[in-house]
Parts: sequence; C-alpha cells; structure tokens
Amino acid sequence: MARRTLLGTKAGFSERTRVYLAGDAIEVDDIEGYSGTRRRVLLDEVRVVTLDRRRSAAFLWIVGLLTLVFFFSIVLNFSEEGRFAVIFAALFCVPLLAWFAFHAALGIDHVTVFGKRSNAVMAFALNKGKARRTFMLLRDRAMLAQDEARARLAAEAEQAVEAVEAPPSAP
Amino acid sequence: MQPAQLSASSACLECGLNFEAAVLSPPVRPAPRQLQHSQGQVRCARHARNAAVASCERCGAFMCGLCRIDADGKSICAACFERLRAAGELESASTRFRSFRTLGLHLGILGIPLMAGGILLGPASIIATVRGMRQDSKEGTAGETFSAVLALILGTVSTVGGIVVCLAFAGALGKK
Repeated sequence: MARRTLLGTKAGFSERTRVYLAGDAIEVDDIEGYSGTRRRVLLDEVRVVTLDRRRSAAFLWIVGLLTLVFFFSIVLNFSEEGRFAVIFAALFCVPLLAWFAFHAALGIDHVTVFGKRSNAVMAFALNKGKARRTFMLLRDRAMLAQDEARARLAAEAEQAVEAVEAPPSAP
Repeated sequence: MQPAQLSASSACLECGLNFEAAVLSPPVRPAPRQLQHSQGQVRCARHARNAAVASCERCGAFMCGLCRIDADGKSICAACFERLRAAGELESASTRFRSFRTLGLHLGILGIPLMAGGILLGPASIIATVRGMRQDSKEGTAGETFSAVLALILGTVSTVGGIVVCLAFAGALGKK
C-alpha cells in the first residue's frame, strides 16, 4: 500500500512543486533542476484550505502577442505561393489561440493549504473537478486529524490530572 | 466533530480575487510539563532543574523531556540529532533528494531530437528512470506511474534510434 499519494503539482519557470498526501501530513517536494527539498505540513496544524481561480495577466499578454504574430504572418502570406508559410504559421497560431482562449475563459484552479509554519499550493489547469475534490479531501482529512489530536490531548490532560490527584502510595 | 467554517465565496480585500475557504481550528498543544529534579534523581545535562527521563543512545548524556528526541527508533539528545542530521545519517530528518525520475524523463525527451546521441542518452534515461521508480517504491509514492512509463518508452525509442543511426553511419563509412 502506498505511503503517500500525489495530490497535485505546480510548475514555475525554474522549479516544480509536487504535493503528496501522507498519513498524518501533506508532503511538499520542491524540485529545482534535479535536486529537491522536502517539507511537511502537518494535518493537525492546518489553519485554512482555499480554492481559487486565477488568470495570469503576463501569460495572457505573452501568448496573445505570439498568437497575433503568427496570425499576421498568415494574413501577409495568404496566397498560392505562400501556402507553406501559412500552414507553418497556422500550426503554431491555432494551438496558441486555443491555449489563450482556454486560459482566459477557465483560468487555473489553485488549492492552497496554510499550515502553522509552511503552506502547500497545487494548480489544476484542466481538471476543475479534481481541484474541488482535492479541496474537499484536504478539508475533511485536516478536520479528522485535528479532532483526533484534540481527543488525544484531552485524554493526556485527564491522565495528568489523575496522576497529580492520586494519593501517594504507602512505603 | 467541530465543522470547519466554510465560506461559499469570498473576495480578497487586497486584490479582489474570489475564493472559497475552509477555516479550521487546530488544537493548541500545552507546553510539556517537566519533572522537577528532586533529591536522589539524576539531573538533565542541559536543564539542571529538570529530572532526567532517559540517556542519549549516542553520547550517553542524561536528558529531560525537553531534550529528548525520538528519531529513527532511537532516543537521542538535541546536539546528537543536529550532528546526525547534518551528516545525513538520520533518514527521518533528511529533506534533500535527487529527482531521478525527472532526470530520466528529460534525458528521454532529449534523446528523440538528438537521435545520434540516443545510444548514450537512451540507456541513461532508462537507468535514471528505473532508479527513480525504486526511489518512489522505497518512499511509498503512488500516482507517478505515467511519467515513469513515458520516460521508459522515450528512453527505449531513443536507444533504438541511436543504434540505427550508428549502424547507418557505420554502413555509410563501410561503403566509402
């Protein structure tokens, strides 16, 4: 049986983050190049779990401009002689346009877990349903872990009180 | 069971971003009560007022409940924990690792356009991917099968492609 399960990932320009659900904690692997650092967010220390949808203005600008560049090259070469250039430009323009439209319309869902000392962020570009399921799973697991911790602390406190109040044993 | 406070949808006051939040109430752990040292009891080496509850399995120093750290099945003091962690000898405290599966995937991808170098890149990709799979198996990681299988396929393709390119080159040289 697996000790930890991959929940989600988040990728930047130079580093990637992979978030796993282990038994009593969320493990976050921050990988830069091929070296990684592992940290944990304990479930019984989770303060907030959030789900939000973001659209990156920088991404939309860059992809939008690239799409326009290829689109204008299609328009300028739209003739019998320039058909190969048109096909070549269309091979780039169509996917970029689709990527731009998808991101502008649907954005990227982010699930963030805030712990006492660190946090974990996952991004879901395509599977919005998985983002919501992950949000609810983390919420429920954190609640369960914290209830168990509260029960354990209460039991320990009772034992400590009983130990103090217990009459001293006869020599 | 205390339910988490849920908000259907809130807007950030700073940036206006809409979000849903589940606010939880983590339990507050009380500070650990230490046994005060009394006549006849052994004192902690670092906290003279506290009674020792154990001795460090590495250096033998007496330690109270504050100093005692249980790691990898051993009871050690804070100083020994720090030394062992810095030396990388405590598996439970190690936080750095190498991502072999990612390395294997990147080598496999690189071996496709550089088919002539596939005879080296392909086997390197396969070796790194297998090592990454063993690492995942040891850590008990699930959910990473797709990237490992993809890396193995790419490594195999670039290996075969590299062999074909080398044979073709050798054949061309032979004809000359």
